[in-house]
Amino acid sequence: MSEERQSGGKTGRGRIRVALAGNPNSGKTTIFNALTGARQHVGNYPGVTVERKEGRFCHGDRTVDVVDLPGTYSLTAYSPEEVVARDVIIEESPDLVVHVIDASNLERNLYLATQLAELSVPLVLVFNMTDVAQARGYEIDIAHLSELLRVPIVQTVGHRREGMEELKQTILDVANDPAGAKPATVHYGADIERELAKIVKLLKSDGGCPSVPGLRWLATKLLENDEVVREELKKQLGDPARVFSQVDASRQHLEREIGDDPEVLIADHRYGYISGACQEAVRSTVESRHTISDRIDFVVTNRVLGLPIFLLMMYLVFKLTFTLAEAPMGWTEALFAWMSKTVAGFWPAGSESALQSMLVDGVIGGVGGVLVFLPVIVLLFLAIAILEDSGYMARAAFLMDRVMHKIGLHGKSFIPMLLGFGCTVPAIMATRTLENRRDRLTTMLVLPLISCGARLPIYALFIPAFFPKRAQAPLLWGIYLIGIVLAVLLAKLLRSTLFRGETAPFVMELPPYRMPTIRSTLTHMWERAWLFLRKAGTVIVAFSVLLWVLTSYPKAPEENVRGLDPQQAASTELSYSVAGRIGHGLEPVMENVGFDWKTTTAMIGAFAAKEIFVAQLGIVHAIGEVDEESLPLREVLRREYTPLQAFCIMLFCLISVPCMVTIATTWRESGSWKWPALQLVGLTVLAYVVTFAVYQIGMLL
Amino acid sequence: MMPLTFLQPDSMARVTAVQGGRGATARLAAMGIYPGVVVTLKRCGAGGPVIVQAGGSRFGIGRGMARRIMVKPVD
Repeated sequence: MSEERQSGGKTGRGRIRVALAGNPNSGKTTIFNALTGARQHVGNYPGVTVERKEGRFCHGDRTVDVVDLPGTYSLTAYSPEEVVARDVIIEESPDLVVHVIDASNLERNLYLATQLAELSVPLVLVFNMTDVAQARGYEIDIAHLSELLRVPIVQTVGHRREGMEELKQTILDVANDPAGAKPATVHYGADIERELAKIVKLLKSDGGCPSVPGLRWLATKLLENDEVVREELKKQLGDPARVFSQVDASRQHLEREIGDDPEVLIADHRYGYISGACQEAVRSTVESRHTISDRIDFVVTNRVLGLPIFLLMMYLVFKLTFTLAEAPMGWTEALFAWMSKTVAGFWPAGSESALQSMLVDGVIGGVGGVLVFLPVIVLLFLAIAILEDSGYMARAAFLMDRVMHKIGLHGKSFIPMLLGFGCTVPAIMATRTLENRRDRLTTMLVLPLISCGARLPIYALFIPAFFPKRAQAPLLWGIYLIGIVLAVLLAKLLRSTLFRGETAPFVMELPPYRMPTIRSTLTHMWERAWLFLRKAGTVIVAFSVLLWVLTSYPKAPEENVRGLDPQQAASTELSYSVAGRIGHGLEPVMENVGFDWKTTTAMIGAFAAKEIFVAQLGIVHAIGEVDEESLPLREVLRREYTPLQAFCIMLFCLISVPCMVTIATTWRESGSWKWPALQLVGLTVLAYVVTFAVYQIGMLL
Repeated sequence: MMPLTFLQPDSMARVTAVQGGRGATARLAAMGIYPGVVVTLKRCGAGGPVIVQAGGSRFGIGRGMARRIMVKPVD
């Protein structure tokens, strides 16, 4: 977690702490970047993968720390983002909250402001995108609106950095004198207010409540049936049953009297308050009906054209990512090969030691194994950032919702699935866009079944070695298809057992199309890539060293390798190591799926990365360095295995978990070891069961 | 009163009720779709989600959810 994070509110003398709130697509990130420049720090909130961004700027003689809250529409407990946003305000009690508002969409954006006001923290409103608002014909009487809402309002155009100096000055002014920014709160009408008063009275007499953010807020949340607040109070209150029975009675009473859910009534009053204020202070001069966004949407969400355009876009993403990444991946590999050689050269020939082997094969090999993914990840995140910032991503999810809904997933699950054909690691990271945790975990767990690029060398080795030319392409296609079908079936299974419950209803804002700015796109890309490196990287290096130990120790006795050529010696060493012993030990079990100890041993080593499988096969079969084009290896394989065995090996590689990087990423993204463990065990069992069935049935035929 | 999905494309209607069930109603309200608001149905194919304009924003809404948004056409 961030070392800058403090438990209390103020960090040192003179420091001002600001939380930046706002709707998604309100230009909040642009304001954050304009305020803090390059001085940013990205991390995750503990337990959830909601990004935490912090930055700082100096103005006059003061330093201001800014924490960028996740973009939310409200402060209910609907999504982790919303819970995180309000927790930061309540627990870290910043000196003030700056709420970024899309001025061209005032009423909807002010809904969040009414909720921020209830947290009784000083508030500054930023009316961003005022140029768009003017173009749409809105005339906003800022002074009047500021008076009505009792908060300072600053107008900005984020991408042109207009209004930033004024915003900085306002932040300082409010920090010095918070009394001027005590926002007005919504009056919920006689009925609701009466019930609120009853609950507040009970909360006060109970005395177990936290002092911030105030009893009125707690009472409102209880009336809205907010489960997170309810759970929290259950722990803190002296007599929760007494309070909750009043809450339930109040909710029932309101439902009976007014005939609607209290949360709907409360929302009504908030909007009533907002529209009252807007009627007084906002004038709309023109009604523009067909915008450019309208026309683009007409084409890209078209029933006939929508899908081909979408497929073309995805093809471009693929092409961009994997074509452009090829060269830098090659350089990374070459760099690490050079480093291995250089480091190995520190030891004079003949004096190779365990330390040398660990540095070269374990550490450098491990770090290289992580960094070689970096070009793909960076480019993929670049593509995603462009798609997201331009507004197309929302349309893609919209288009795919119908299909994905049928298999119990969300429209947004499609993008990770597609990315999975390239590499499972960024695909799992891309599940972040899914709000519902059940949807997200389901997608994450089935993703390894989408055959990734690293498994292609395995198919490329086996298929030409065992099958006639005309069967080769259909077979490859078939293997990919088996993966997809299994992913769909498994998703359905998970949704009806472990993650039972409805798919979150598909409701998604389709933001207006915008030209992504280079600055924000690159910032997005870099933040995510860095997070991957820092968090997943450490785990991966540790695992690499572990796998190195498994495949190198214990050393074979001197007399066993004496007189053998180096290739046979390497094979003997591997056979003698822990991995080799596990391979031997598992032979009785793995025999049933067509594996001998050599394949099993290679499989264990390949847990570092699937493409290593081919190299490991070369070592166990004592052929030395090989790649998937290797003819001698194909010769040996043809001699030792039947085509059925070859197919089963490919099948097992497809279904079992691709690599430790996937496991590490699932751990990072799900926030617990439980899910990667399930993924590892579940997929291994599935691989065994399916391959077992195929092998046994195949043997009968 | 009728479900949102019955509207003709590009026609406007006032939302009269959102029978969304727990959470979904509040979610839609936070996004700007609540009783009293005038919405425009932008796209509504034979199946799959619909596109709705409300205020200055545009939303994709799953069909199941859209059927539970009751509206009254306005001229």
